[in-house]
Amino acid sequence: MISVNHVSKRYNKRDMVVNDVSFQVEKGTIFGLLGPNGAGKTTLMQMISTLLLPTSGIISICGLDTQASAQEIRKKIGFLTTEIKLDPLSTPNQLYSFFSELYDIPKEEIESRKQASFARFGITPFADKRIVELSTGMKQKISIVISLIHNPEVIIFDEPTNGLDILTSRQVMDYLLELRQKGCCVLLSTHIFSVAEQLCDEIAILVDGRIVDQGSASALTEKTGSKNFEEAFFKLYSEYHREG
Amino acid sequence: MRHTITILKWEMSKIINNWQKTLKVFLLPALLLLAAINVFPMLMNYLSTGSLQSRPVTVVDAPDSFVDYVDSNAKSSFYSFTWISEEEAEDLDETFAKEVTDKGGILVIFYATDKNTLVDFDSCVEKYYSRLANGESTRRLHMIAEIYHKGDYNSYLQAEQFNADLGEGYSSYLLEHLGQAYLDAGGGDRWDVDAFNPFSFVTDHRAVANLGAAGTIPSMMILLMYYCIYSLTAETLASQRQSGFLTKVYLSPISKKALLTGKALMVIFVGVISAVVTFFLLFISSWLNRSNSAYSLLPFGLFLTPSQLLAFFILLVVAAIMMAMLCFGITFMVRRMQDVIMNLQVPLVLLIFEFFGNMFRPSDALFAEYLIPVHNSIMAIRDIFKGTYSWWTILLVVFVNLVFAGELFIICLKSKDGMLHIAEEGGANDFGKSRK
Repeated sequence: MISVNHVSKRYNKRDMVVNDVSFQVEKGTIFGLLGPNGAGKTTLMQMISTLLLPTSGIISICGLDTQASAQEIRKKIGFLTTEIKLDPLSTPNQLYSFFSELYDIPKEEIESRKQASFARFGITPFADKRIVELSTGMKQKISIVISLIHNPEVIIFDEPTNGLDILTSRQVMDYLLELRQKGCCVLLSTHIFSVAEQLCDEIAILVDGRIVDQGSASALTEKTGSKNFEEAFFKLYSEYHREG
Repeated sequence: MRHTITILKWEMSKIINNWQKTLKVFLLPALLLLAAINVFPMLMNYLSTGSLQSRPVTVVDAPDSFVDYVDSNAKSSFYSFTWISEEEAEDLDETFAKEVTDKGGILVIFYATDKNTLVDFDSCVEKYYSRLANGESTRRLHMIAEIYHKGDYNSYLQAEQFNADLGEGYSSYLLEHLGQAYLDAGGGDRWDVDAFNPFSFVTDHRAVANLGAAGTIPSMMILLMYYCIYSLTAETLASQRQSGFLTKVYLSPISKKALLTGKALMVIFVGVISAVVTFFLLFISSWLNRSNSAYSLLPFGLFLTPSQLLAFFILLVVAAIMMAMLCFGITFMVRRMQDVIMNLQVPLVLLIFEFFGNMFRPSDALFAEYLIPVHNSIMAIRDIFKGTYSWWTILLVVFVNLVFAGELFIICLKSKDGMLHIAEEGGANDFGKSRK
């Protein structure tokens, strides 16, 4: 469903932020991008979600090219990043109605879908409060609900559990597993090992804009002869820098 | 189209739901300017008289008719009178007139002569009308009210105002109360305006009021409308872009054109409504300007005909479109929030200069001025108030503004990342800071 082929991104004449990255994400799988800050995870996800244009390479989603069919692709993806904030003076109810109209959701379905989503994340008691009055965790839950308002086939989440308490993190992780179960294709970026290990079917280790290695958490652990996935990551990271 | 309406509805609901912002955008600037307009005559009064009280007038040897007239005239409340009798006046020295006028006061001296001999003023007036009624000569009768002021321009305006408020009406009062013999004989003022006819009452003041308003209203309206449009653009475009909310909306299957059009329509609509509210307040202010001070920036009796109102409204809408696109263009060309705000304030400063320039500009606009966007709207609205407008000029102004606005809209549409919280040339949420 997501196909990234030799994609690179350079901002002006500066260094490559993403350098010749390729991977595929299939339907019903969760693919993780794991890397330190500044590795290029966010830039890569912004290119996949049609916000940025790659300097070279091709990205396609559901067979559609992100450069040629950006508007069509946006109907199929749900993109979440902590950089995108919701309107602070609006309420969850107002935001849900607004985005439902933008995504052309039939009017008769809006209310039932909203009630189900709000109940799922415990938003209902806060539905008429302004975003600015809500906690970070509640804001993140509302962002998730809004991002998935149109039941997208492809879900792109950038650091979905960033800044959340353990209970909310668990709730978000359970939801992602549920979406995989439903056959969605999930691409998520994280720098939290436990999240990557528990959720992802396949993980790409991204360092300085390059994919250092790729595979399941257990396969990468085994391949590097490490005791756990965290150790495997550090081995791969040190190896890359030794070679570099 | 559907998405454009969704965006328009959303933006409008945000304005309506946030009453503080609505108050800020709609009423506050208009009320502040309105207050400033009304404070201006008071300030000028203070500068010329040293007092915020009503203007001081000293009357020497006032005839009974003038005292009665002052008591019966509402406009006399704008002046504080000091009455000096003939006996008291004899004790005054030569410096008295200088003392009164140096303090910003007006000195009025009444006297009447019959064959070069001082006589009672009212008796002389009665004699004058009686002789007129009998067809006798009035050549040797003189009734004089002399008005003295300091001699500078401000004092001159004060004296002129006093004459307009009380002097002119007093001559009619004399005819009515002391000229009975003349009136009985069929005499009267052939040029007297029918005061009971509301139309003549309006037209009597309209020429002066509209001409006075031409100096202040056009640039003031455009200035306030720009302030409104600039605040809304900063909020709906620049602020939402910085927070990333605009990116969130852009990620929905909405076209850039629909998104921009929806936001532009809201900004233009609210801008025009704010201008209409402002004009309504200015109109009311003009008609409540009872004192009609010589310093009034909005004289009493402002009135536009339906065709003038129509032309005025068309120009307001076109100016709003142009200014909205100018603000959108600036926001799309500059990324950092503080840079956007600074650049949006440049036209605001220029419009403030234009406001003061127009206030005292006596000349008509040059043809080339009708080709400068926004400025041409001010000039054309000025022509409307002066009554010298032509529909060809208005069409030219509409055309020029729409062409420029269209160009700016296309520039916005072509911008690759103007709506995103991230830039193609680099930077995640850091807007222009160099990326390491």
